[in-house]
Amino acid sequence: MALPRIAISCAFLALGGLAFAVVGPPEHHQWSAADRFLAAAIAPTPAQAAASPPALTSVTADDVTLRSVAVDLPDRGVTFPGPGSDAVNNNCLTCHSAGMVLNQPEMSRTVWQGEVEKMIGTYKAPIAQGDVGAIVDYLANLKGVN
Amino acid sequence: MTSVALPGMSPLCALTSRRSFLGHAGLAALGLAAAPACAETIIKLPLPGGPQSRPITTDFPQKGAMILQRSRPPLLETPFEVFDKGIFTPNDQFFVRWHWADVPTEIDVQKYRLAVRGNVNQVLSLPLQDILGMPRMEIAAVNQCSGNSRGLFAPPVAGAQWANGAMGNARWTGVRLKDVLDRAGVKAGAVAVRFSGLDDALIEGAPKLMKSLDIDHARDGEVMIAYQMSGEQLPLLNGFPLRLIVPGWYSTYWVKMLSDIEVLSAPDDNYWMKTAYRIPDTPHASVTPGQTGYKTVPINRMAPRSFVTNLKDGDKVSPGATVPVRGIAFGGDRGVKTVDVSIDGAANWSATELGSDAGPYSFRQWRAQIMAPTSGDFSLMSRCTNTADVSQPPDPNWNPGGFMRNVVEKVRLTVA
Repeated sequence: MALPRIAISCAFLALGGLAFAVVGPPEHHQWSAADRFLAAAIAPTPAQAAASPPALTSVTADDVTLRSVAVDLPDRGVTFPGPGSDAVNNNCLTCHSAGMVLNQPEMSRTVWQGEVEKMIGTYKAPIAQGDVGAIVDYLANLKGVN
Repeated sequence: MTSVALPGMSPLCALTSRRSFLGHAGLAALGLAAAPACAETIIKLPLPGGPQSRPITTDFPQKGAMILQRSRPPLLETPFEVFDKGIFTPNDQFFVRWHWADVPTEIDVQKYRLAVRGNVNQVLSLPLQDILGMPRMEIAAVNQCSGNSRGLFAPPVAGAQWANGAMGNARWTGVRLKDVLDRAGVKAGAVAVRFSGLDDALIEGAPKLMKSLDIDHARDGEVMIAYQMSGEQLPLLNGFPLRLIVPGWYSTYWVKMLSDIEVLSAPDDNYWMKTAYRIPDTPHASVTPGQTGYKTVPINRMAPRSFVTNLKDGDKVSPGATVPVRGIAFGGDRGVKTVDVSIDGAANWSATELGSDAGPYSFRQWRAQIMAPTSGDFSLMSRCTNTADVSQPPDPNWNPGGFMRNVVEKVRLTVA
């Protein structure tokens, strides 16, 4: 939390006559009552923060404005469970999360073999040839039908 | 800075961001499962092949409650009750579908450029400012995934196991593709126009998503480049800042984060046209499971569909009651002519009253009253007929891609 604290302290100093506080290195800085008051006064409300993130640009023409966007995409970090999952976890999670595979219906071993081959041949998944059998075994076990 | 929850998330439900992906790859290497440690809402989708449970997520930027089909690349389905609220799907609950994991998360609108190149007189690199200044058009149009309802296929097929919520309707504002092509000047000999966006594969050599339309279709004055969706800029996950809109055609052509338009002087043989998103060239794109040797064509125009939105499977109605029913319909590649309902297994059909007409490519609401039987369970069916007199078929189609489902759907009701 060092950066916000520095920013607030700078804003504090910029207010000139109010700046009695001597700001030490962030790790030694103690919050004073005045600090807290000022932080509350200059902190944007949540709505403002959402509507106008810093340094984001916009373009406007004929009453339409487009604003730059910066987001972060979540990743649930779900991995393939159970015995024999090492090969699928080590090879498959680079390109896609586990969820959709776990959401597939039960399909034959032949179909799963074809899916793995499609990932390698068409979508260029860098899967070691020696791991293919273990991946197909795992999927056919987890989601297989005869 | 070791454990900071993202804004708006409870610390227990904080998810790892894609930037910390290596962290969980490391976990995977250690054989540790990192399941989310928060209570979450789980819904059940009516998928005959199972599994049926899906989390409801609110963790995606600019998105409200969505059905989580896959977190990376994101596949988010619209909860079906949203379709009961009106004909326009809210942007924050509009379905999301990405093919490749490299989805840009930052777009600077001042630096963004749309390239127009290939068989043209003048190569263009258009800033958004220029595009906003061109003549505008607006169209209401349904955006539906080719595989919407794939999870209802029997026997089941591989792919995103969508229920019926991989579709949405919006008012799209932008410029005609024709006007942009005219600015570049299409040269004689052009046969197709190919589109791609900023998303890409993480793996070198993997086929970048590119889709193409015949030159005459591209210049029909309806295909457009949208920068607004129902009056707002598009959510990033729906293709901000520019998306190709192909009214009446499946979503695979509606290229998101559109950045490149290439006029081709030979038919497009890239993977996403030649191999993927192909349908059997048969009525309703239907074949028998296991059938081989049939001709295929790129998926194209949508077919009519309709849904009951105010009742769902298992709902109870009183014996002999008059029950108000309503729903939505769309004609596919043209407008809705009629929507009929049946409660006797398609022996008899009754016309419904149609809501206001927002244009031939939009959802249209319908409503009716049915008289419940005095005893016994029954199914409520709805059937859309479009303005070319094409109706939804009584039997489900089947193809190995799980594409183009448009059978008459049933809601099973209990009299009690």
